[in-house]
Amino acid sequence: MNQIIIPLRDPSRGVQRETTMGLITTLLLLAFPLVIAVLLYNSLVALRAQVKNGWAQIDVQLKRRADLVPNLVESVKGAMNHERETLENVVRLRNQAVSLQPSGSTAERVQAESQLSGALGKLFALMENYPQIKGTQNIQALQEELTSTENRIGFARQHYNDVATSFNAKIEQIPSNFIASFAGMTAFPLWMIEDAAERAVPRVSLK
Amino acid sequence: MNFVEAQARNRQRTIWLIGLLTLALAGVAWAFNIWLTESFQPLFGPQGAVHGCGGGFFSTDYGDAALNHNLQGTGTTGCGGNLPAILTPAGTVTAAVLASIGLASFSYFWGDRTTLFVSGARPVNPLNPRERQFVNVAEEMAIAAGLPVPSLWILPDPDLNAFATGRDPSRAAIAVTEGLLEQLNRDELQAVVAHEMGHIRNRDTLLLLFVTCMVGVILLLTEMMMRGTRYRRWSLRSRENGKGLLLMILAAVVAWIAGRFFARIAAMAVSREREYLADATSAELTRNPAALASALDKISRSVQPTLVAHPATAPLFIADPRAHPLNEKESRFADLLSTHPPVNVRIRRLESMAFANLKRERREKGLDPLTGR
Repeated sequence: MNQIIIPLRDPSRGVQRETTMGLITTLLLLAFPLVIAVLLYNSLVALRAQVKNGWAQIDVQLKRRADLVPNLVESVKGAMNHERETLENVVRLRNQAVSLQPSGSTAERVQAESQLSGALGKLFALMENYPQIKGTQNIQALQEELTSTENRIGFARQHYNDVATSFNAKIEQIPSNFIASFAGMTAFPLWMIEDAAERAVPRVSLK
Repeated sequence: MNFVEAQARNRQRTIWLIGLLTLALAGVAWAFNIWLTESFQPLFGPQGAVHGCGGGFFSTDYGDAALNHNLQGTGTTGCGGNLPAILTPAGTVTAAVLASIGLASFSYFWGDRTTLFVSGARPVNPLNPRERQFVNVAEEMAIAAGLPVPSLWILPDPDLNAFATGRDPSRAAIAVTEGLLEQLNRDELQAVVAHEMGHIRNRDTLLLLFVTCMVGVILLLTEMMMRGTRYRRWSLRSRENGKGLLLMILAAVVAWIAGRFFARIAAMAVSREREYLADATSAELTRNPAALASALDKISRSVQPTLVAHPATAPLFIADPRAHPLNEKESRFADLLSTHPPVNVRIRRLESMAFANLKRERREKGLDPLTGR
């Protein structure tokens, strides 16, 4: 039982303590990068969720617009007989956009939705020539809803592009790029408007 | 300067100002401690108690025997043993901080409702076309900021003004006056709502609350010192107390002048920086700084004061509710004590952001950024 009773000044005890300390230090050194990696991964996942939510927001607003367009066309049809072509164009583009909403590729959808934006902008501009329409409260309300929806689409796209850009930058920056490639995270496409003319959607003010 | 640079600069300046305010509070609390130990001197032990007791609670910091013996008490229970905790510098500072927190937590939980109630706000009515537009614009800005839609309120006032309140984005509220809805067009209303959304995203209500409470505690402490000193002057006449009394008066006067001066200036400067920051955030959300510039122009042209505003709620509004002539002057001194930056400086900054946007667009199109050719 001699080994168990360790004298106060046993040199081996100091060695033992040093070994324990060394072990703890090594473990800490190993654990530190692991903790950092977990934190980085979590922040990337949170950012990715924001991007997906941003995309979902755009979808919500595009659906809202698709629901409002038939109402508007129905309300102005009677008074705007001479603009039949423009109205038919709006309806056609709206139906095309709706048909692409469940399954279309991003590029196709971006194209269809920007075309609809352009056609609606043209319709709004033409409505300025019909004071009897502009005076109707019902149509004023509809126009306000559509203007707001156009804006919401724009702002949802802006927000989506902002968070997608910061996510895309993150997964290429050191050190989060290691985590991203390990977790198989890829960049999100930005929702860009190709045509400069479509970028200038006329803003209709009720004032 | 674009909105990203503007935001970074404003945030950095806020940090400096909060640091200055904290220093002012600590300084006043320290002066208050000197004052408190002096005024309670007769209660704590006879003069000339045991000296040179090291390691006491900050007691050696003073290096002044007149103060030192107070901190050590009668000497019967050891060094600083029977000194009430509140009389130690650490104790006084802690008490001051706790008082700030106490004041702050009331406002934290009740501030938004109190503000709306004091202003006589009523909930928005979406059936009214103008108010419907306000709802739409707020939803657009919530989408742009990626935040929940705040609760929306109308202030029954013909002046043009707006404010945001609420401790966090999920409990935020935006209120605008009837006059604002009447006078601004859609883009301008959007820019104003974006400015308020900026306050919400930047957590300005919370920051302003924190600053207000710090200033409140400084005002309280200095007031107590001044009043207490006036009373003490007549009750302490012994020769031994002469030095202590002088120190008391000195602490009270210095804290009153310097503490109040710095606290006010720092608090107002924080308020102004946050206005600039919210302007820059509005530009970020709408990408249309010119709309806010024209809204501010219209708001500043309305010379009537916002009657629903209260002095306590004034810093929350987008424009100074007093419609104070000082707001229009560009004098440095007038700026120092104003809750809002001069409108013409804000407009100039926004217009320079608009010009930065224009230059970027021209560059993207391959044109000369300055001439557009």
